[in-house]
Amino acid sequence: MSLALLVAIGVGVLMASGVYLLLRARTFDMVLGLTLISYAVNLFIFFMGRLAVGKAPIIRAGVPENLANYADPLPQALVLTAIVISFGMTAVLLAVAVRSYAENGHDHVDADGGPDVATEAATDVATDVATEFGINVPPPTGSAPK
Amino acid sequence: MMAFAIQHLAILPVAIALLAAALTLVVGERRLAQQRAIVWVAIGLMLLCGALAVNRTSGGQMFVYLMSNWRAPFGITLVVDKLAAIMLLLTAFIGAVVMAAQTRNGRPAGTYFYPLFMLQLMGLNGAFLTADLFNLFVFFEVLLAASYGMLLQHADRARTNAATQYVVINLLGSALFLIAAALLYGVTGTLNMADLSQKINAVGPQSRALVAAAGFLLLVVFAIKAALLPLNFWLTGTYRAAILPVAALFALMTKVGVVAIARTLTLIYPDGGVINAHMSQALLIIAPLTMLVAACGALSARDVSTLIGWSVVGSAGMLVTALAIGELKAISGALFYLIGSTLATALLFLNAASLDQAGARVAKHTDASGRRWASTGALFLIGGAVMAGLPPFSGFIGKATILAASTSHPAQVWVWTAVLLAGLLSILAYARMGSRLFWKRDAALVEGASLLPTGVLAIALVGLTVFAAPLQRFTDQAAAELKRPQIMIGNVLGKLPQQKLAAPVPGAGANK
Amino acid sequence: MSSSQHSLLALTLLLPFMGAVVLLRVGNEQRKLAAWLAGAVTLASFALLLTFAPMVWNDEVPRFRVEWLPSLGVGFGLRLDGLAFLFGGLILGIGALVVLYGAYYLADNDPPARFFAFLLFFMGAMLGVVLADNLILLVVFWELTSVSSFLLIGFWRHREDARQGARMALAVTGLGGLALLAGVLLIGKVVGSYDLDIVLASKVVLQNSPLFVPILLLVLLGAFTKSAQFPFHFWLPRAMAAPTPVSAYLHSATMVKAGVFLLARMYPALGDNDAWFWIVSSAGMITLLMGAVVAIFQHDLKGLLAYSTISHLGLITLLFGLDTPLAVVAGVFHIINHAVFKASLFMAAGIIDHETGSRDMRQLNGLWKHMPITATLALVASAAMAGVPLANGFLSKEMFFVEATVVDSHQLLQFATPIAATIAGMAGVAYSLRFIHDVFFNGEPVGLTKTPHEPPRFMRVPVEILVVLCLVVGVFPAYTVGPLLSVAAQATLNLPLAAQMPQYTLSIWHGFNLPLLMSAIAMAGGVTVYVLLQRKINLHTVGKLPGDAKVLFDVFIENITVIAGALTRLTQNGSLQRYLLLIVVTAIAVAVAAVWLYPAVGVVSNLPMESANVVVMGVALIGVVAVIGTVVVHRARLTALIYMGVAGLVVALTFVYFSAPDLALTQLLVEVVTIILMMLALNFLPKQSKPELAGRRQVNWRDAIVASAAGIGVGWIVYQVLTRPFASISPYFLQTSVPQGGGANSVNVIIVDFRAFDTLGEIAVLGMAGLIVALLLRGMVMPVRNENPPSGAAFGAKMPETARQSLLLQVLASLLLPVAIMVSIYFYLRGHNLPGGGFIAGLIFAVALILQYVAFGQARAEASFKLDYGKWVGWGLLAAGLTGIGSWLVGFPFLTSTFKYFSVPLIGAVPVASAMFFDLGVFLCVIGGTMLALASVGKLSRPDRETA
Repeated sequence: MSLALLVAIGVGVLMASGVYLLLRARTFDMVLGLTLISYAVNLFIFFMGRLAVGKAPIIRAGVPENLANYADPLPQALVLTAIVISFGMTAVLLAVAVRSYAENGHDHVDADGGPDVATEAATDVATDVATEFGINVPPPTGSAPK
Repeated sequence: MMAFAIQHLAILPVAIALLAAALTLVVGERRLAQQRAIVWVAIGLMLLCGALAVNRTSGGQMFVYLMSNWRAPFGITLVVDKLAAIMLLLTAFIGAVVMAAQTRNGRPAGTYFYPLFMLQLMGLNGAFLTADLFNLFVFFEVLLAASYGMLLQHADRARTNAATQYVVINLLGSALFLIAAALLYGVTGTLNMADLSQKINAVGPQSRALVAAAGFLLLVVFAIKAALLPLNFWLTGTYRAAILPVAALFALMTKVGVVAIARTLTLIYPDGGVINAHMSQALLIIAPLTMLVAACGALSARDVSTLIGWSVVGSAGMLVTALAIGELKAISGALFYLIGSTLATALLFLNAASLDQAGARVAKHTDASGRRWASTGALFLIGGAVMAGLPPFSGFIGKATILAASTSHPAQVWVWTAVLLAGLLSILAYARMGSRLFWKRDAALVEGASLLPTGVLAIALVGLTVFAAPLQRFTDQAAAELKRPQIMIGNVLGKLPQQKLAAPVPGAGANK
Repeated sequence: MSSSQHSLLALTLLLPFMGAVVLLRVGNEQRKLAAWLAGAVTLASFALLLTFAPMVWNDEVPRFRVEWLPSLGVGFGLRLDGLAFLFGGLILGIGALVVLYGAYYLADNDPPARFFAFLLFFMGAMLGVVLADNLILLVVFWELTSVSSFLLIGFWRHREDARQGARMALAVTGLGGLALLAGVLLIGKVVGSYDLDIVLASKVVLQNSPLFVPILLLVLLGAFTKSAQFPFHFWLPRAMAAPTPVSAYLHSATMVKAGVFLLARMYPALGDNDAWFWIVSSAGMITLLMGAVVAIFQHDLKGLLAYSTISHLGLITLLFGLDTPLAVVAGVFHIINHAVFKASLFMAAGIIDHETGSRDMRQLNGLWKHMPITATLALVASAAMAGVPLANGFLSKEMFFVEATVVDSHQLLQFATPIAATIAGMAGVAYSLRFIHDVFFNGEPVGLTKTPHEPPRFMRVPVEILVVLCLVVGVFPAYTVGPLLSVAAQATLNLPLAAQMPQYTLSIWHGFNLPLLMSAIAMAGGVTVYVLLQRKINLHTVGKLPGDAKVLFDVFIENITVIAGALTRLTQNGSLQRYLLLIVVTAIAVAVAAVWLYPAVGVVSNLPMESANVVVMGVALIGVVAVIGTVVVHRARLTALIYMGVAGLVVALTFVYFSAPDLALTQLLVEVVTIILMMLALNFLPKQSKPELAGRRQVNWRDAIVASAAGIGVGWIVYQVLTRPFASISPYFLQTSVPQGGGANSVNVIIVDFRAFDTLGEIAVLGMAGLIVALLLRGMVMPVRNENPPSGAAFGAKMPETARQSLLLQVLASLLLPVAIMVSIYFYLRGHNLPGGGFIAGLIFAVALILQYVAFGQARAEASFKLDYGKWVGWGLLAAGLTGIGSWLVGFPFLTSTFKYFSVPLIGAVPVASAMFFDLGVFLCVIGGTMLALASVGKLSRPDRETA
């Protein structure tokens, strides 16, 4: 199989998995999904500079400076930027997820917890607390920062 | 000094905001007074820059700035054309008003408010200025990240939930943006918009589908920002949740999308290309629909913030409709409309801030408060009139200009129906909301609410009507400039970097 | 132009607006002042208008124009011809009387300043409509009348009916306004100008254009809604909720007259053709009859007057519809007469209401003995309304009958019109009679709250003036109204010279003729009708009449709102998943559309295709397994994290393999930090996702399909691109990075030099991310109480007891810190030439710090460092920003980098480029942002230090 086809499939799988997880109903699943999507996108950008094996864009004396001898540096620079930004945004989204869990008492992406909150919100917390701390704590009510 | 300002005109609005943000962080969270001082200075300077930009570009100049002194298309290029100039001034003005409202309304600014506020303006200015597609992405991220922070000021349940939707949707949008930009690079090998414009024209038929896909994806991304159907759902919830000064600041957010669409239709995929034709056709279906749906939303709105939010969606629809029509006068009318609707949105949100919504502290009922209540009502009337396109305000002027410009367009009947029907529905919506807010009950003002910022905005709106002549001459020129992308392409690609001081390179291979 | 520039004309128009503004500032405290001000302004404006009389009678048209909307080709232009003069006179003259009347009418709790301000605002708008010299400006003021009348009708804002009436008037007239706008724009398209002079002169062009019928319909829609023509009449009776002075003003001389003014104005351009004749005359006739008949059955005084107004407007409309010059003259004449007597009648009604506390004719009886003067006045006025000889109404009604009889050309109407006219006349007599008889005679008052008496002297003055006018005009028409009528009619017919006016005589006696007969029949018939109605079916017992279009309107509004609501809920159901799905689907759709629109696309495989070796395949396989594994096990979140970590690792390896060492390094470090962050977060989130409800099975399938479509699409694009030849700007970077960028690692050179501006934005984003996490989580107490001892920090939940207090780990960490710092500095310095740079260095540093947190727990770690990471971000941005500005000092653009080589032991020749300081900014920002995020999440678990 040609490298091109291989990487194409790889990016495709990443993207598909990411999108599927993004469409889940839980904040954390969305975070996972977006992370996978960002992998896919970063690779996508990277491959737009075409494939180059063993041609790191670090100038070596006497080697003619063209895309035949060096990998395309520009997409790499773009990917660096993209990686950093998506890292930052993941952090933000995680914080929002934690906060919204605290505020809503469930980790469904919709405020009203979608169709099945009433039952869920309770069980969610109960079970989590139980599994984590082996104690029972009443379902939380959102608490604003002091 | 002046020469210096002119030389660096394009970067100043960004640099000022950046440094202000940095300084506000450095002086530390506790020292709000110093932070405010810094921000005020920064905004003052931005206003000057905006005014200077408008003044100079109206003279027919266009300022191209080679970032890091690398010539286009290799480095990042900033451009101050007339459109950018308008947006810079508008941004600075809105910033000033929001700042005034924010500092006055008594409550603490909120955590990291000022740094985020400054970075928000930095992002907006950068997005309006840059002529580099990837750099546009970066500044979108800057202004979005800042807006997340702004939205989460005084975070509570509602704001957190609104933020969840807003953040996730925009992250997805960013991913799409990256794909589109990278794809364009993969096919054309460049990122500079002016360069792209030429390279896209040159691509062979077997690659056209790819550049078209990239262009359509770009439009999708920008449509999310501009809140066009069917990508508008994030908007009302977000605006309703945000604290009102922030909502007022968000008046600019959809406009970023609109300006980006304008760049796409006039520079990257300029008029005359097949792709442009397809884009315009699609937008001419979607944008008027957006107006109608927005009008329905406005009519069914139960609280004032939702109403305003829907009118924001509607105005975006109007603007994109005009851009898609593409006639010079239509674009000119759109620019006129854009200014007015932005100011009006800010006015309405700030005005709403001084209303008693759901048990805010109500001021005692006195003659004075009665008069301020009346003024608040008058301000709502003005803002509403602009948004509903009632004369004599800019909403009507822009609308009339756009309609007049589309008389010979094949889509005229559809566009007119949408615009006029939406107009009627919005009139009804504002009449209902207004009579419910200001007639049904007696003065219910929040304590310590100031009329200054809103007053300034109202004066500005009246000014738009009184001094429509010079402004329309400017927007006409701006539209003409957008209609002739060659101008910008020539300026951007023709600009030469300054001679570098040749640096000694002792055996560049010292470390091989 | 400036020679004939009449600024006074502008002042005439602006005075009322200025007055309104001043009044709003005056406030409601000084009641008298407000009234005086309003009166003064009105009279001043009136006087100014009169100064133009000589020119008007001299066939001159005074003008004023300034530039306003160049891109529409429209100026702010005013023009005062006979018609405008007539209307201006009515607006300001009757306006002055209304102000005087209102001063006495208003109750103590009615804010006078607001009232008069709105009134002046409306007055100005009306003046604008009649003075505008171009159609756009006319529309502007037209809409302003709608808005200001909305405010006036809703003046008693606490009353539901007032609010509703106001909204309804606005809705109907607003609709008309938009239609008018459309019509006007079409006229502009056909004629090529909005200028009245030009438009009125281009009758032929307009009426031959294919757009003529749409234009006509749109303009007429505007006129009919405004002047309450059937079926748009229903808003007018509802508008009676307004204070009576307002009704007296809006429904006699102004608001509703704007509609007929438009008919008169546009007649020369749009009139004189069949379409106009049929539409206008039939609308007018129906309205005339309907209004007149319904009026008889009203019990509310103002209700009766309202329907009579509708009927008279129908009459005027019908006259314009009859489409003969003389009919037009009659129409103009009736506009004047109706304004005069209807204003006085409304005022009389208001007086009665004011002095008796009721407007219900079933209560009001026999007021003659209580208020004889008012009664007399009302008697005369209603005589005019009924068209009794010697009152002005008679004359125009006669002219109307004349025109009704001479309608030829159209067979049907030849008979219909006279009959309709006569019936309407009868009805008119009947309701006028009821007005007088029911109110002033017909027994004694029943159940009045106060004992009726004459109003204050000056409240009656306006009525007296108007009634005198009725009589004077009625008796000596030729000497009084004659000249005014002729100039107005001449302007209406757009005749340049008075000589071209059609012949007509203003006199009471025309000899015995058909019209006189019709009048007689109308008189006799009217009286009989009323008497019969009184005797046979007592009018007082007649309930509400059916078939009011208001019902339809309500239903209409109701439906819109419902539909709107449904539509909104449909598009916007609050489900994020739905929105995301929509976005993804849209994205896929547009991509597919692109391929469908440009089908030429195909794989152009002219590149040597390297094929993957076994190792690569193997790694790829691992990657795919890991990715799919993440999806499969995503409910068990910690496990999913491991799978994802592997996937990330494979991505890093991909970067290595395809010669991107910088990316690989960065990917790895980001990977580490991200995973740490997620584990921290998971400490406060459910460890596993609840399964979707059973009902969501097929939803999952749908999502799976959409997701695969997205994956296939992206993969396909990648393959397409990879198989295409490539020409790029990149060689330039390779060539220049050493000689001009001062670095061998061209990726790094791009980041800190070519595209340093991107990096600037990037670190701003990262810094902000830290700030946001902090502001979101700081001081927030998680509802689930954390049982771990402080030293556990956030990791408590996942770390075995022993590990937490592990001395080994602490020693290790403390040893590692300096090493890590060394390493990070090393990477920082070499970045320009080899993989590394500020970002990577920063992350290494951050990881080292996190390790301290893990080992010693947050408390000690923070205590020992005392770092405010927010400031770090600040310093980072400052450093980067100042580096950028630095290049200004040497006259170069932002972020221009210069460099010099120094040789540093162990590392070699180090370029000290200004880029290095920039990179320092990056370094600080990365540490600041990352640590802010990690620390804030870590802190959560420790309620006791939440404010730290």
